[in-house]
Amino acid sequence: MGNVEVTRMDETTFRVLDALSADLGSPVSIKKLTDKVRKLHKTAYYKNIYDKIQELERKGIIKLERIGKSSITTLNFDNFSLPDLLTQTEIRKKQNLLENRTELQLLLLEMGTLFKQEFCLINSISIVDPVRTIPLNRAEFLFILKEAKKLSSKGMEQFIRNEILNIHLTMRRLQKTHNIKLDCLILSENEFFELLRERRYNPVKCMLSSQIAFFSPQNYWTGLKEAIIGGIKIELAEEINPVKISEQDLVYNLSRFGYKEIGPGIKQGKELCLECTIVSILIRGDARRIEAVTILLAKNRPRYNVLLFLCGKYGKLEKLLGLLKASNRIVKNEERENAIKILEKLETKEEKADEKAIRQKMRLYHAV
Amino acid sequence: MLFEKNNLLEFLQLVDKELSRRIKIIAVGGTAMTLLCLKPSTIDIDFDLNREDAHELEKALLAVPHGFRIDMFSDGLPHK
Repeated sequence: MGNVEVTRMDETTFRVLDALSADLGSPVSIKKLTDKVRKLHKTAYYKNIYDKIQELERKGIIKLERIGKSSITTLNFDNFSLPDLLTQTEIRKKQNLLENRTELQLLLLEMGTLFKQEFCLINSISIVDPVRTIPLNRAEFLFILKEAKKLSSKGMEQFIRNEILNIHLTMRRLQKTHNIKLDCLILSENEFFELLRERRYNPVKCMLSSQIAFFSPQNYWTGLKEAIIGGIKIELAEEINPVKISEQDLVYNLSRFGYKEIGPGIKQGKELCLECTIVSILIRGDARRIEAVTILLAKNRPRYNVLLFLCGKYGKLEKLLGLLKASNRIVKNEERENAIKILEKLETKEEKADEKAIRQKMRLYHAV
Repeated sequence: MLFEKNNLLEFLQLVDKELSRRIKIIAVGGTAMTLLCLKPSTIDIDFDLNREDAHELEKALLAVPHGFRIDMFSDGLPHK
């Protein structure tokens, strides 16, 4: 035998790293960490966690800082072996998830094979909050694509667009085969970090705490490590269901994005991303506000990948396609055209929008 | 994917939390048989309910993103 020593991560280390990695960006006391481990793994004992934290600190894997009477813990991303340990954590999380879930095993296996063979830009794939979504016969995936260096060249841009389209088509095919709804958010590494850094709420902020990177987890954690060392401040958030966004928050965000209504007074509310605001409008189904979506699209620069993901998740792709087509007939836009192309290739049935009314409204709001 | 009784009940519990009032839904066909343990699973979900309750259920379903195929019937006809 050689000198290679393979050690299996012990259960307490796994649980501690799992809890800390689910709470990136917010340092926690050992007491809170114990509560978090208990929430994730049913049982946790303060003493065991305390001892393990001391051991991991000695090894330089976590940082421990005394604030008053509490000891605050964070992952030490300066430690070169941390991504490896977090990769092991991801693999263990995946194994735990797939235990007794044969159908999911088949789906992830097929995804692993297909995306490894036929795609070259995929950096990592994570399944998001599977314990909650799988019983609802759906699964959410976060695809992070490698950052292409020569993005400026037209050929490369087209190549990336084709790769994204093919990911969507492959996922649609898998959805049909496995009879489970699959929603995927496809982002480049830069877009991913930009969304994490953003102050206002967006769907990526709630994904990190419940994701399992099952495809190239090492890439996932190496990327995050580099970003964190590079100074990115990660702020995670609880998921916001667009159905439950209050009228006050919606009016506030509409005005932030350039659509002010006569009537409701604007009070400061929770800041949401443009895409969440649009989906919330589409779900509510108020015809006047739906026309406003085209104004929001014209006055801002939506991230169409995020918009497609949210509209798919909440069953509003048909309505979105109608609005995109109508606004594209009024003002052409390359990114919008690409989103339309994806939706058409996915055979989305268009729900026609009232182009005449939209044109009038866009003129009224100086969006044409 | 096939849905077993416990999947159906978990789903109904989630939807129940989103309802603003009580509604009455009648499980039909395979859904009813699965809930009554007369068959192990069903491939889709069928409910019969009156129009007002169907609208209320539709609203609640918007808040629970899911991948079930749900068919609703009102007065013996497909809803919508």
